[in-house]
Amino acid sequence: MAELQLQQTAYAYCNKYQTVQALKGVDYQFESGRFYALVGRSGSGKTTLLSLLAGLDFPTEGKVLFNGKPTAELDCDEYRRDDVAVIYQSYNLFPLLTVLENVTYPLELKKTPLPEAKAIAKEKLLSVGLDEGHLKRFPAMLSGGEQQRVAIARALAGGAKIILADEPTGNLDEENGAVVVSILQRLAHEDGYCVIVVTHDMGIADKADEVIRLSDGRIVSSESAADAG
Amino acid sequence: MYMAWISFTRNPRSSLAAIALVAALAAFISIFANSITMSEAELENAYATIPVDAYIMGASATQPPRFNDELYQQILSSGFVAASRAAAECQVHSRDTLRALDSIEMDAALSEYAPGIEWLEGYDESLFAGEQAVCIAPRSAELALGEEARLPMRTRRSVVAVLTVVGLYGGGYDGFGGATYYCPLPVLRGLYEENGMPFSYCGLEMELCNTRELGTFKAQMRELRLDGGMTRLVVNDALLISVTTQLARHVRLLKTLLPLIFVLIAAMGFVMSFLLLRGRRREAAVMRSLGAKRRRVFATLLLETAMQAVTGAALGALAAFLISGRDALCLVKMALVLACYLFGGAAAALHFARVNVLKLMAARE
Repeated sequence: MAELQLQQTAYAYCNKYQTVQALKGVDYQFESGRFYALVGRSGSGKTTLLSLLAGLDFPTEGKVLFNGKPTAELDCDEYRRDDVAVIYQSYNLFPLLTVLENVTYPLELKKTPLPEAKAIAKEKLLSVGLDEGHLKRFPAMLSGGEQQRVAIARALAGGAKIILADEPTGNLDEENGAVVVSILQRLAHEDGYCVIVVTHDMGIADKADEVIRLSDGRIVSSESAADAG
Repeated sequence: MYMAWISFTRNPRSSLAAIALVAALAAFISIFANSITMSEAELENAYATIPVDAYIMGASATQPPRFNDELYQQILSSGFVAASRAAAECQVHSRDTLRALDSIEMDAALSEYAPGIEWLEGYDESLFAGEQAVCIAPRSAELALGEEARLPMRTRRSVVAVLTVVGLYGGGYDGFGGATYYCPLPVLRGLYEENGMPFSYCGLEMELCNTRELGTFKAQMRELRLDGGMTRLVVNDALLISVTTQLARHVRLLKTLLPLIFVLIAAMGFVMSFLLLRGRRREAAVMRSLGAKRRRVFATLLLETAMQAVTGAALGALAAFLISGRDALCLVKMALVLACYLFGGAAAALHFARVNVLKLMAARE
């Protein structure tokens, strides 16, 4: 069971003219096996919140706790390698690596022996619907939907139980977007992952177990599917 | 390692650009360093082959130099004299001269007469290298070969040089200058020593060695007070100086430029790596976001640069070999080119290993 918790989490940064308070004392708890949607207007603090959850940055006030420990006290490289995985709108695959090599990379970081790493990578690729025929292709030879599925397989290969996705369907058509969302849903509900998706797409939000609305750096509402139902 | 190898092999345009640059730099350095080596060899050769001689002269043309045996031995033991020949003389009879040589070449007049010298059987010019009490007499002295010449010293008539005439030279008339007899140098020196008279030389010619350090030799001679006055040393080094000064200046310039070129190579390594890695900033950020430590990202980028540099250096060495031959190959210089290029490359790799991963989150294509 992986658990992420926000405790009075605030984040401020300085730009050229002023100090911007991107997050203001946010409290929330994310649990395994649930699919969360973070929604809100641009500048509401969604991506900032995701970067704090991903261990790419640390709150200026308050804490982000992973399994009860502040992320600021963890080795953030190990945290990103072992505990959380991020999926980006623009896929961010390595263009010079084949599909199989892209998915193998996180395992290489964990020093998994190559044959074992390849077996895991193939299994994860199959789980997102990419068969043997895709393994030796380069990202540029794949459709957007396929690339995003490779990115999901790469996120899964590292063994993280928390999946963070930043507008994962933003570059995809409706059909491919639906496939990606269904994969993420399956990961949460069947495989017990904690999936947190930043999105503007209310279609995705409708499929989430919890919809968290952010405005001006604060959580203004949090609705669960049960509440809505 | 694997990631670096893949980038190296699957990104041929970038790799080839870097390889071409390093190959050109390596070939240039090889040829440049070889030209330094060749210039140095030329300089060494100039020092080894351009003859420098020196001689001792008196205060004027009519006043020959005078110096004693102690000074003579000090000059010879200076470490700069490869070969020498000396002369001494004393007045005999009323207006004749007995000239003692250790080589016939020490007397220009006798050297000129040499082809016409009539020798007693078994004798020739080599008599000057020996210590036999013999002499070459002028025909004007009307002595026969094998006859004894008795030559009393003008300053002390009781001392008589008794020498067997083994050669006759010149015409039958000696003019008004008096006759000159020639004997081996040790004979005259021995006569002076037997009679407790101070012996002095009147001429010394030397071929110098170790000419790279001529300044030291001249300083030593100054200490012996041979730089002026009644007895002075003349060194004929004008040709050597004119040739070696230019060569030495050339070598010095090339050697001064060499470290600057290595600094330039490091700068080029930085610029080239920076330009090539700039387009892959996103990859570095993705590596970091997947949990790769900064040093791992740095090592990956540096290793890729190293693969390009090693390949380029090998090709550069081959090019230098084809252009300038085997002498142009210098492993140390190749290693320095690699080290400097990689130093620059490492700076660029470090820059990209410190990529801001947060910006990646914000960047949406």
